[in-house]
Amino acid sequence: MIRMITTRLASSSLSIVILVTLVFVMAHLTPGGPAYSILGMKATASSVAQLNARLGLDAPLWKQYAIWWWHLLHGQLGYSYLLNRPVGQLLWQYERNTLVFYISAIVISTALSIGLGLLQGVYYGRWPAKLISALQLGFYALPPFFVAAMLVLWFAVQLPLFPASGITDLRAAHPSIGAYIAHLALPVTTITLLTVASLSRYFGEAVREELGKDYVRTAMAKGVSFPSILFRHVLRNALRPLVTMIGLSFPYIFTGGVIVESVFNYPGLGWLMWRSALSQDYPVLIAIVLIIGLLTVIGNLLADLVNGLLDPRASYE
Amino acid sequence: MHRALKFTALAAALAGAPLAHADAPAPDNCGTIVIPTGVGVSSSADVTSMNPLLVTSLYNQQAASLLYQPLIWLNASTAQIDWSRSIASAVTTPDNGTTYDVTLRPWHWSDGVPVTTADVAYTFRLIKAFGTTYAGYGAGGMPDIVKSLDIISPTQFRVVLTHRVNPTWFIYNGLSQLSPLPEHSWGQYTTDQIFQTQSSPSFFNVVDGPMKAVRLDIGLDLVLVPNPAYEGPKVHFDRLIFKFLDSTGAALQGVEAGDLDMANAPLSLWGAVQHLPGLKLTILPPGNDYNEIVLNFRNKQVPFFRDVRVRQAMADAIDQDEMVKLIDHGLGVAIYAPIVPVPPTFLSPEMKAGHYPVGYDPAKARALLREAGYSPGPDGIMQKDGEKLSFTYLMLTGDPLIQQIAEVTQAGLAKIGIQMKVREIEFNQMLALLNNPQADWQAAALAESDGGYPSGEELFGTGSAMNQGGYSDPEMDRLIKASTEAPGLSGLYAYENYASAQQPVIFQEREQTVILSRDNLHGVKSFVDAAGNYYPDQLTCTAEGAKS
Amino acid sequence: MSEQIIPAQGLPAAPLGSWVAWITQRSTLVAGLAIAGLILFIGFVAPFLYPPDPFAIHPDHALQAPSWAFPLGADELGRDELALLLSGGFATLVVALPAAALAFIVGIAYGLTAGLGPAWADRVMMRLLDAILALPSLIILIFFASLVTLNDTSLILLLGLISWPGLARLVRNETRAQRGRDFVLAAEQLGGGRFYIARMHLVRVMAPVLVVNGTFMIGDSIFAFSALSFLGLGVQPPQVSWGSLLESALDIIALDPWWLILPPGLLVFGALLAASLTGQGLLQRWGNGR
Repeated sequence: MIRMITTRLASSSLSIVILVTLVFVMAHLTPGGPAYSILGMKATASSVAQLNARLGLDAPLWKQYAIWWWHLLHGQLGYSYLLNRPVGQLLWQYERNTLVFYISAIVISTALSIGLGLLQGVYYGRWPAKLISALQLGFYALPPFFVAAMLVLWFAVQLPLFPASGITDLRAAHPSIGAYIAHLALPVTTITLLTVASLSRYFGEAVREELGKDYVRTAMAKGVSFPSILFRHVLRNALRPLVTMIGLSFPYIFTGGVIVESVFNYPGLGWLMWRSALSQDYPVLIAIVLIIGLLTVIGNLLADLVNGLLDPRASYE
Repeated sequence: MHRALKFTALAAALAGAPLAHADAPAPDNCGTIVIPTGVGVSSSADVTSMNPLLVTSLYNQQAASLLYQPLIWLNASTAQIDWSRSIASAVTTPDNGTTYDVTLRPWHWSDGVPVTTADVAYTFRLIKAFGTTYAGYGAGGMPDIVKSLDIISPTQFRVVLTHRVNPTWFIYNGLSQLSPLPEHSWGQYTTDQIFQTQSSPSFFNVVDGPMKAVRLDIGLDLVLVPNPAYEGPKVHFDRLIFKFLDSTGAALQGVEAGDLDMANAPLSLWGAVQHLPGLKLTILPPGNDYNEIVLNFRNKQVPFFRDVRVRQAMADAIDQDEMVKLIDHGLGVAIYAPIVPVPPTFLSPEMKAGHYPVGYDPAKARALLREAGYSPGPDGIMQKDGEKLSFTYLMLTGDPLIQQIAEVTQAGLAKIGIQMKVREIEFNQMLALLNNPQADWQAAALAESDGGYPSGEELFGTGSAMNQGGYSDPEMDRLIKASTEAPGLSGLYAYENYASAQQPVIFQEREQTVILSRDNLHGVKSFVDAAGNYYPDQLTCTAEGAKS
Repeated sequence: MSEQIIPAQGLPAAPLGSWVAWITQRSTLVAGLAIAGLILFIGFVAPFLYPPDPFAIHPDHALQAPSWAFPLGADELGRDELALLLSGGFATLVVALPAAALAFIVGIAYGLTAGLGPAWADRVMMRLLDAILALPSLIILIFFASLVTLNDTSLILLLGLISWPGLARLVRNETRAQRGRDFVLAAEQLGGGRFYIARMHLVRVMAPVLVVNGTFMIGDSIFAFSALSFLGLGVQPPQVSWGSLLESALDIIALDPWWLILPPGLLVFGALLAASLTGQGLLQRWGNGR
């Protein structure tokens, strides 16, 4: 077990290094660079040169790369010259918003998925399950930008129930929790609709499989009540793959969906990633990618571990 | 409406625009006012810096100008200096152009410390320390044109230049950059530290302008409150919040939903914004900006740009009046020279009479091309010795107005046999291309400002900073020099007429800005001037509008 | 209550005629193929049947709701929305489909190489794959889109970068699994080179899995291209795509332009649904591979 973990960690670290290097090289190869974003229309050849010198961007690529790792190992993620803030501070500020957004969505999605999945598994072969199945396929195919646009159209424009963008009511000196929730309504609904489609299908499959197993038949024969079997045993066993799925979606929790965040102008990490990619704000971009890489790896590892703990028969790789 | 604005004079002022308050009853407090950045001028974007010496975008400039009072207030709508709003009470030049004596009026920082000439000297030291990364570098010749800056007393200083220049030019474009900055607050920091704290409100806690920054939420908004120690006209609200928006649609949405108190009404949606309940439209007079097509004179694939007849033909092929009618719904102004017709202060006499060397005339355009030796090829595109009149035009993404201008331009040029291919590009990428002399680009759609004293030293001089296309003409250089050095306005007029005839960039019409605002918000028209300077004291509300 | 617990074995036979039974038993697959056919028609045939020029501006008709003159209304520049939709469909499919094909080929090639090669090569290739998989595809797209001129060819190459890693991993795992099987050993004994084995045997065995994943990849490709256009990095104006149409509509959503939002969105949805249903249907027919 320990050996498995260390081997996985070692190879995952290698993946992360490759990942970061790839992004670093790609970012610096893109023509332009942050000097232009910073200087705007005053970006003449000489001012760009001077700014690049000040920011250390005129050093050879390998040197910048080495310096970046050096800072990282000292716990510094760098400084965004575009936004004039330390990267760490920026990330945390935006990350907060994404966490609230995504964790709400995941919690609601999970609750709904469990309910739908149970229905789907229990009524397998009959029309409720088929209906759910059809809905799942349908919603799974919906592009997120379309869902977001329709929600805004129906519930923010045609029926002004919810705000279409932003994170809270700016006018109030001390915005209420209600304002935050109202602004979260549409984005969370978008993500929930899409996530429930796949999560509930996964869970439904798992429930169906469980229900076909011997121990269920045995318990039935012994006269144990159905609800008791369902909620005490089937649910617990079927939850395992669900946990794996949630673990695999870890990176998305932290980075958010770029598309959904940009439609709703929701200042989360995905939105920041998009903006920094466009304006070539290298320090921010690379830091975000690093985090994504780390989280993907950790998410995978944790999911496998949990699976391993819950079922010793599961094998890795 | 795009963010690419040229920045010549740092004096972002509270206006001396005539206070026409016919529509404002007793000014009630407006509570909190929320507006997008760029309102009254252009589309919205982020504020990322509040340091007056480092602000390179319009939005940063607007934020900084609310914190720090300029030495010289330039009323952009009248092109006159408003002395009642300037820290300088008088400027004289005893030797007519080389020496300038400036007297300061009594003025104080928000912590009570008086504003003195030592602060001006500090500003000048900082400007030199920032070198070419100083935002105003090169405008008005600064800082290299200054031979010495001498402090005569706490309220008087003297600037001596390296040579004699046109006083109006230097006062408007150069001297105005020396706005005092709080040495007693900033002096303890190195330039690097100042650079790194550009967006921290806590660094800017000593101000002398009407507002103070409370909070800057990066990417989201900037919260300002009135400076209680401000000695100028008082404002009528408790908080001013600048919201950073991503699209014109978001601005419209915000006003309709009540999140914003005013926003630019997108001209492309003119029909839809006419009769919105509780909202009103205010049409602003034309601003200082003009649209243009920048041409790359260095690119060997488009050598025809170097022929002035081809450039004039291009200008003559585009029906600017039709564009104003169709795209701007009549709310725009045709422009044929590096100066907008409103205000007419610096227009040459010929231009005042409406005579320009170019104008919509397709027959003349075709004649010019024939004269230059071009004839239609088999595909209808004009060509000469195998060289086709075809080029690629870069335009910024995201703005329907820019797109419409591109399409009408494309159609107009096609009618005289010139093929224009359009490529959309991000702002960053465009700047990178335009400022790299070796980069491969052919033409680009940009905007420029004729602000201050509209001499062309930064735009069309050989090798000058904003001359992205590499335009070079000894006659132009000579005329530009004359416009900045010779006294009076005849030098400026000669330069303007020549620039209009030469079309070093193809000048294009510019839309006016229309503001959509709440009915009970008054003073909108005088809130912003032609250069985008804000006059927050002009905003008032009637009773039912006061929100908090 | 007890009948509900025991899973049903397949669908009950339809009481109507046999061809109806044939269709309903394969309902998912049929639905998928039908929608796919419709989308292909809209994308490749319809643009040549509908005369109006998609790029002609009619400022007097700006933002007009659907009418006889403009069946799907007009956009903010007065352009015929139906014409734009058809033109956009062509642009979308002409890039997304070849891109999916490219990703398909590259994914199989990479997976086979890793699976059939020596162990050290396999490890290196898989670690590289992990790194690529961890990168959000959007970042890759954004970078390269800002580096290259965006024409059809470069977009195809760009989008081809999206889904091949997933397929490569699948192919590599399958290859490794099959490698130890008798028929492969037998072929090797008989002197068959690696490439021969790959072509003749492995691909055949993996065919069902490959086809199913291929259909999903088509969906991914269309989605990625629409997302890219939606974010402003796909087609260049005046050319449009379904994603870019949605983006322009979203900009003016305050004006309730439902005729500009529903059609492109529904078409992208339709394309993704077609891919999903077809893949799902094939999966039902052929089981889960192996």
